[in-house]
Parts: sequence; C-alpha cells; structure tokens
Amino acid sequence: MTVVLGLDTVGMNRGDKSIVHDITLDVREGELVSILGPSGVGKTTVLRCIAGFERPDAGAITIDNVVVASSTEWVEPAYRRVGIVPQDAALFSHMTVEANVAAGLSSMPAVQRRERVAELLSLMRLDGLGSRYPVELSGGQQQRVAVARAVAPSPRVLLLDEPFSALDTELRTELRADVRALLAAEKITAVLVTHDQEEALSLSDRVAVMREGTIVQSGSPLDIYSHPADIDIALFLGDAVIVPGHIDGGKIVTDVGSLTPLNSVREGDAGFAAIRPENFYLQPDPAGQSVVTDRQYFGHDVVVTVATPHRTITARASGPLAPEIGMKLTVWVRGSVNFYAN
Amino acid sequence: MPIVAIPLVYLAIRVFEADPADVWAELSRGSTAQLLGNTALLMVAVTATALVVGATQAYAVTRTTMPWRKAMAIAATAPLAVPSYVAAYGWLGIWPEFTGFGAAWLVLSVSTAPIVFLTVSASLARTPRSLDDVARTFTTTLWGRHRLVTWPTIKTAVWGSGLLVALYVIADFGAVSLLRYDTFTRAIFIAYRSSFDRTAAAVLGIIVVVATTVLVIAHSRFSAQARTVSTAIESPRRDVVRWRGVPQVAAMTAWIAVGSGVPLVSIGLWLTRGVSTAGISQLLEALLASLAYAAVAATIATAVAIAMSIARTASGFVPARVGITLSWLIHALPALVVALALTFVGIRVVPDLYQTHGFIIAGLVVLFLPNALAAVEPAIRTVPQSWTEVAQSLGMSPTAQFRRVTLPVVAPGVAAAWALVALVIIKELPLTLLLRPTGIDTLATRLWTETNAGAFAASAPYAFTLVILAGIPAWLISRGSDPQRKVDAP
Repeated sequence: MTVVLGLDTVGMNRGDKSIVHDITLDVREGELVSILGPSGVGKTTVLRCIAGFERPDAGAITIDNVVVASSTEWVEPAYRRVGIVPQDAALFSHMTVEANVAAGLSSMPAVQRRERVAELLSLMRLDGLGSRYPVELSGGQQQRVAVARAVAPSPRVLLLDEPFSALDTELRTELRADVRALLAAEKITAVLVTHDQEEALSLSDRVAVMREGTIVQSGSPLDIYSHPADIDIALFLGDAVIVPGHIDGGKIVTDVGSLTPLNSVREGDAGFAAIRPENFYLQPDPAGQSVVTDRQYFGHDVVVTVATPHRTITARASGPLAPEIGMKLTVWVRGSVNFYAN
Repeated sequence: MPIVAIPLVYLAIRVFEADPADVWAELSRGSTAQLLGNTALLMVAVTATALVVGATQAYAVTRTTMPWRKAMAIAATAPLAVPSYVAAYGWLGIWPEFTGFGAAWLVLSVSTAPIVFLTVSASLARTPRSLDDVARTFTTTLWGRHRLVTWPTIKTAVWGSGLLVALYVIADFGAVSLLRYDTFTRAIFIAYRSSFDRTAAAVLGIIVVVATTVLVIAHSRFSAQARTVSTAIESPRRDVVRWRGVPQVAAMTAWIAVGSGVPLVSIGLWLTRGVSTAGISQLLEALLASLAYAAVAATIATAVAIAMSIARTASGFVPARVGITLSWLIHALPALVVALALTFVGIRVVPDLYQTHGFIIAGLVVLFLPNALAAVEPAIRTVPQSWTEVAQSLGMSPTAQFRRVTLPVVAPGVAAAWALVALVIIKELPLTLLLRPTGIDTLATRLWTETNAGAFAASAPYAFTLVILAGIPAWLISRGSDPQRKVDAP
C-alpha cells in the first residue's frame, strides 16, 4: 500500500519549551490511524501541523510524497487537500447545512455540487436537514455535518480532532460506525486524535500512542493492547494489576503464581508483570485463601475485587458466573502476561 | 410601567392641540429642511467614521500581531471617560473657532468609535479558532477567509453598533450646541428657550421621535437576525495577520492622541490657571447636587429594575415585559426630547411638582431605567430557577428565599449596577438643564453654562471632575468587568 501521509521526525517548540518532538509516522492509503494519548500530550499539535495550521520547527511532512512542511518547503492548508473535523464542529452558523457541506466545493459545477452534497447528506444520515441552520441541529447532527463538509472535497487525508468526545455514549457509538462506513465508502485516509482507548482500539487500523510529546509505540490495536511497550502504556490502555516478580526457568515467579511471559524475557531479570483483569480465573474453593471483597455489576460482565494473601486484585468475570461477596476462591492466571524488567 | 410612555403621548397632544397652520408652517419652513439635512449629514459622517475607526481598532487588537495590543485596547475605550460635551469644551478651550460641522464630526466620531470597538471586538473574540481553521482548508487567501468566516460573524455587530452610533448622534445635545452646529436637538433647545409658544419645539421633537423609532426598529430587526452557535472551546487565533505595526501603531496613536489627548490637555492647561476660592465652594455645591441626584435616582431605578426583572424572569409577567420594551424606546430618544415632553406634562398636570427635586429625579429614573435593567437583569439571572425550587422543597417561605438565597447571590451584582447607573446619571446634561429647580446647578449644567459664556478657566474644574467620575465606568468596561457585559448566566 502506498504511503499517503508521512511524518519524519517532526518537532515543534513554543518558546524554549518543546511541544512535540521526533514524531515519525506513515499512514497508508485508506488507513485510519489513531493518535492516542492523555490530554496535553501534544496530539492536537501534531494534527495542526499536518493540516498546516502550525509550522513545525523540525522534520518534514509529506502528503502523496510532496513535502508540504519542512524547513524549506511550505504548502498552505487549502492546497494540501486535507479535511478537518474539529472537536466543536465549527459549522458556519450563517450558512445552511447544504451551504456548509458545499463550502469546499466552490470550484465544482453547480449541478455536480448539488449531487455531491445530497450524496454526503444521505451517507451521514442527514436527509431532509439540508435547509436547516446549525443552531437548529442537535450536537450529534452538527458533528455529522462537520464530517460531511470535510469529506465533500474528497481530501487525501481527513483529520478528526476528538470529534466524538462531546457526545453521549449511544450517539458516539452510532456516529463512529457511520464515520467508519463513510471512510470505507469514500476510500479516505484518516488520522483520528483521541484520548479514549476504547475508541482508538475499536475504530482504527493502527494506533500510535503518544506520551510527553512523542510517539512511544505504534501498531495494530491487538498488537498495542497485548504487547504494550512499557508498564505506563499497559496501564493507559486498560486496567492491569502490576505484580513484582523475577524470571526463573523461563517463567515469571510472583506471589500470585508462576506466569507465562508473553514477551521475550532474560533469565534472572527482576521486574513487574502486568496482568489484565480478564487474565484472572477465579475458582470457587471453600479452602481457598482469597476472598471476594467487592463486586461491580456491569451486565455483560462483573468486576470483582479480591483480597489475595499478598495483595488486592481486580478481576473481570462474566456476568452470570461471577462469585458473590465473601466467597472463598483460589486465583489463577490464565494465558500469558507481559513482563517488564527493571 | 407604561407610565414611561406618558411624556410621549403628551408631546403628541401638544402638537395636535396647536393650530394646524402653525404646525404646517413649522414643518415646511426652510430651516426645518436645513436641520434635517444637517442632522442627517452629521449622522452619516459620524457613523461611517466610527465604523471604520472602531472596526479597524477591533481587528487590530484581536487579529493581528501588532505590538502593544493590550495598551491599544485600553486606549481605544479611553474616549468613554470623556463625555462628548466635555470633549467639546476641551477643544474650544484651546481653539475657540473650533465650531461647525467639522468640529461636531470629529468630537462625536471620537466619542462613538468605542461603541463600535467594544461590540465588534467582543464578537471577534467570541469567534472560535476552529472556524478559522476549517476556512483555511478551503481557501488560501486572507480575503477568502474573511469572506467565509470573519465578516459573517461580525456583520451583526458592525451594523448593530452603527445604528447605536446613529442614535447617539441624533440624541447628542451638549457637543453640537457648544460647537454651534445646528441639529434638531440644538434647534429644539433654542426654540424652547427663546419663544413663549413652544409649538415649534414640540413639532421638531416629534420629528426626532419618528426618526429615532425608525432606527430602533431597524436595530431590533438586526439583533433578531443574529444566528450563532456558541460552541467555542478555544479562543480565537491572535496571529491571523502579521503586522509589524509601525504605521498601524502610529495611526492608532495619532487618532487617540488627537481625539482624547487634545481635550484632556486643554482641561489640564485651564485647570493650572488657578481656581478661586469662590469657585471651589461653587464646585462643591455642584458636586453635591450631582451626587445627590445620581444617588437617589440610581437607587429608585435599581429598585424598580429589580422588581421588573424578578417579575419577568419568575412569571413572564406581561406588563413587566411591555414596560421593559417601552423603557428601551424612551432610552433611545434624545434626553432633550424626553425632558421637553416631561415639561409639558409638568406644566399641565402637576404644576406644583414642576421644577422640584422630585420631578427631576422622576425624569432621571425614566431616562436611566434601561441602564439599571441592563445591569441588574444579568445579576438576577445568576440565580437559577432550580435554586428557588430547591429552596421551596427545603420549606423556605418566599421572603426567606429572597433573603437567604436570592439576595446574597445578587447583592454584589446589584451594588455594581447601582454604582454604574449613578455614574452614568452624573454625566447627564439636557434633562437636568431643562428640569432642574431654579438656582440648582450640577457639574454638567455648570460646565455647559460657563463654556457657553466663554469662561474656560471657570469651567475647567467641572470638566476635570466629570472626567474623573466618568472615567470609573469606562475603566471598568475596558477591564471587561462591567456588570452589563456579564451576561453568561447559567
């Protein structure tokens, strides 16, 4: 697959302070890549550099192998063929929905333009709302219009800046699915900035995890989730119980048992194992040394807090089979876990 | 509250009672057409100037990289501290031949540019950065971006503030009469003072009422058109245009230096020529009269405004709504015309009260009720409906609710509103001039009388005191802490 968007050691400072540094990332044709990280980590700055709203102080950005930003080259946002969906939708409030979607289509003949607008409104399920003004729309509808407006001119790269974060869960799930379908139908390459792990893991082809102004790990969602590069990433991507241990005979020896390492380890190393809640298996056992102290019911599953002889762990159990508070257990760890040497 | 409309009705009655031949003669006189032409010319010239200057200043301080933007923003609002008749006095003090159209144009343009500046810069500051970002992916030029985003977002503010400036010009009395440029207000005053038959003044007054009403309706149409989605989460970008700034800073500094600097320097110069002891006791008397009128009228206006706001927010009480709308119309009318109408009412209906302290205070309350409403309403609205409901559910009586929940929350806002209204009333000239009891002078009327007599040294302390007092609300506005602008109630 051809690389559509390339970032090569991009960096940006504000005054003496480095905002982002050494950002290197390739996005291939038709891919959706998420930049995932907590707020204030510089994700949006990267997006703004790609769009051309900010000029990086180091490195180069290419779109279709044309350098659009470097120390010597500069291409204005309007010539980069990027589309942007900001967090607040930023619809032009003086224009109707149709006019908003047509905002980037001024060079298209009128008949074609009307067809294109109608097509996008229908893809984003906005049929019949074309003559409304933005104030007359709900938050979810406004975001849909913003997506349609950005996609209308068929950009090479679509940039999504936390577009779903202001919506409630149900709307968010719906809109994510529709955006995903729209990107596939239009064969659009996209970069999504988000702080929501679930969103990044469920929506993207690849995830780039950012920390302290740079990308610390990138890969497929499965890859990232099952092989976090360090404990911080492991904890950021989802709950994990961190247990000290050392490597002996190829196994991780800990106080919750002897575990199988998922990553490659060196004999004799001391460090920590990161155990996901779903790795625990809770076996009811009247003679067991562990006790259930709390449970939170979520319907499809239950998060159970268990006091083991050495520590308190949280484990995920499937709804109907979850143990009750006060029940005695023996705790097992099934599957392999990641080990991080000190 | 429709009581505020009575003066207008009387003005109409006064005209209808007069001999129709006299009314027609007054209307068809060449001088009336001349007045209309003069007023229209001044209105158009000042509005155009204020729009260009105010909008440019607003753009410069919000959207460019020009140096000293903060200082420039404060300087742009500085003329608010100098009432237009004080500025007129300042110019005349340095240059007695500074009269006629050019003089009136310059003084009023300087006084009104801050209206445009404040409105337009507020609307520019509210425009989210993301809007401009999106526009940048569609269009390459600054011009294209302005056409797509900037102009549509500030359009309402520009035209709206333009209409406010036009209203200000029609209403201005002090500056045009000191600068001897014949507009309606000056002619009404002369007609009122010089002849026994006041038909002429009434007829001219009605013309002004009609013109004002047209502008007010136009303004309300404009505000109704405003369509905005306020989802701004990021402040607008400040570096849209790179202005290295030497010519721009020079131009803005020159405008401010000429507009506000010359009158202030003049006041300073005259002040240093010495004030007599007699002068000081007179000054204190006038100051006392100004403060007393302002304090009493502001207290009544604030109390009425609180009652009206609570009645409106709590129950949508219809008479309160009608009263509020009407009082805005009265507010838009030149104070001189309102004063004229009130004199007719006073002489006819309550001759015993006419030219008493009570009558002038009533006039000031009618005139400045809208200021009090604008300042008090946001404060009242900071108490959400849900709080009163919670208070009720906790078993509080309505009086206990007001005392324990509403009052503690609104008290600071109401106090600020009171102070603001009082300071605005201190500047009032035409109504005080017409309705004051014989022998009473306020700072404003003293300044006006002395300046008209060419006694510039005697006027200086009054001008100075007025600038200091008027400077307080202007300073608050430039700091953005004016309670009138805190409208974001939950």
